[in-house]
Amino acid sequence: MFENTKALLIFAVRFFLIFFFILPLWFLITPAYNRLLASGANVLLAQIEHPRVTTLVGWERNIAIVRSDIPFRRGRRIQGFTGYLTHFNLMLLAALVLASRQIAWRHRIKVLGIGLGLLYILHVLYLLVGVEFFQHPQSPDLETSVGNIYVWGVNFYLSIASQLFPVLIWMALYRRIARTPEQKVQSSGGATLPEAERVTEGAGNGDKSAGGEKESRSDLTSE
Amino acid sequence: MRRLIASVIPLVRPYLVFVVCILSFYTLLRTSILRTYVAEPLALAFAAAGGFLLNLLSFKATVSGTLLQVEGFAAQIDDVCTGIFVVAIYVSAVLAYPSRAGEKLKGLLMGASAILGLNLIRVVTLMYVGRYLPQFFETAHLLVWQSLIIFSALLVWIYWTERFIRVREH
Repeated sequence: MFENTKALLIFAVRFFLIFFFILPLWFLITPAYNRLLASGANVLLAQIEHPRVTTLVGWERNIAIVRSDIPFRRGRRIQGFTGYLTHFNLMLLAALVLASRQIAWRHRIKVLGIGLGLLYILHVLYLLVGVEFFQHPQSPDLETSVGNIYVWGVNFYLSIASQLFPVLIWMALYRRIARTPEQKVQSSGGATLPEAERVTEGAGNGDKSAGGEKESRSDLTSE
Repeated sequence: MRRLIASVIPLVRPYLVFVVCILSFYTLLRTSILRTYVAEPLALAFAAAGGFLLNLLSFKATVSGTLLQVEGFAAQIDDVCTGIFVVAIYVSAVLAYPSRAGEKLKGLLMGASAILGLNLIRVVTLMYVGRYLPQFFETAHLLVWQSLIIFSALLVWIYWTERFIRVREH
């Protein structure tokens, strides 16, 4: 993945710079992204909810749940999702993709498009599942085995999966899309003999940085 | 068909091991036994070490259990704040990656200590942010540091796979 420790450190520095550069942007785009998520979730809610009583509304940094069967009263607490917290993993993915070196820009944009699309679908699913249970915290449904699995799943998503998904998506797409044609040939067993020898030499020294695979990538790709 | 399955298993196995490990670790860490004997002592240790470091930095801090206090700001360190879930992700990734037992052991020690060490820095910096820039505390706590800790785990894991793992000779 990285030819040596220096390349890894450069990647880390680039990540920090990009992450802190795009962090303020998150607060600017959150209202629009929340509205986009709410409209996507509403399309699906219209299909799965009979009769349709719930509507999601992007409301500044949050996504509010509006129910047509409960009359609105002054002072009533509006339930919803803290969108700017739970969907922040978009920024992690964007920083990882933009910080990656030796990837052609068209590949980078492709990885970003697919990755952000996958996270959008994940966020919409999270909202749909959340609508079912989040607004009924005292519901007896939560004490059933399905309810327990739901609570476990939400906690798992918030504690681990929400941060892990961008990293997994980045790694999968980086390996799938960002590799050069030559690397793809090598991974399918078509490495040329000198390159294969160089890889073996590097491995024998306990230092894979001598591997021809990584050298060939830096020669062939452009930033 | 058998040949197809035999060729697919080695490719799929690391991913399966990773998923199984991560689900198992998360479920185990949520049990009352591990909370009592692992997560809570770790939270106590982080509070104590954080308080010690803050005092070293001339920032008068007092520790009461898992409650860390400085003048004008206090924070409760719970099990999620200890970085134990990120360590669980890292350990799962190390266990899943095809490597020898000795290499895994080195990876586990190096990664766990790096992540926990960085988490201690996180605790200390968050106390500073909470004291002097309270309006940014939530952003620093839930957005910035969470992302940086998971990124650090990724970095250490890549470093381990590239520097500590030797290719098996056939």
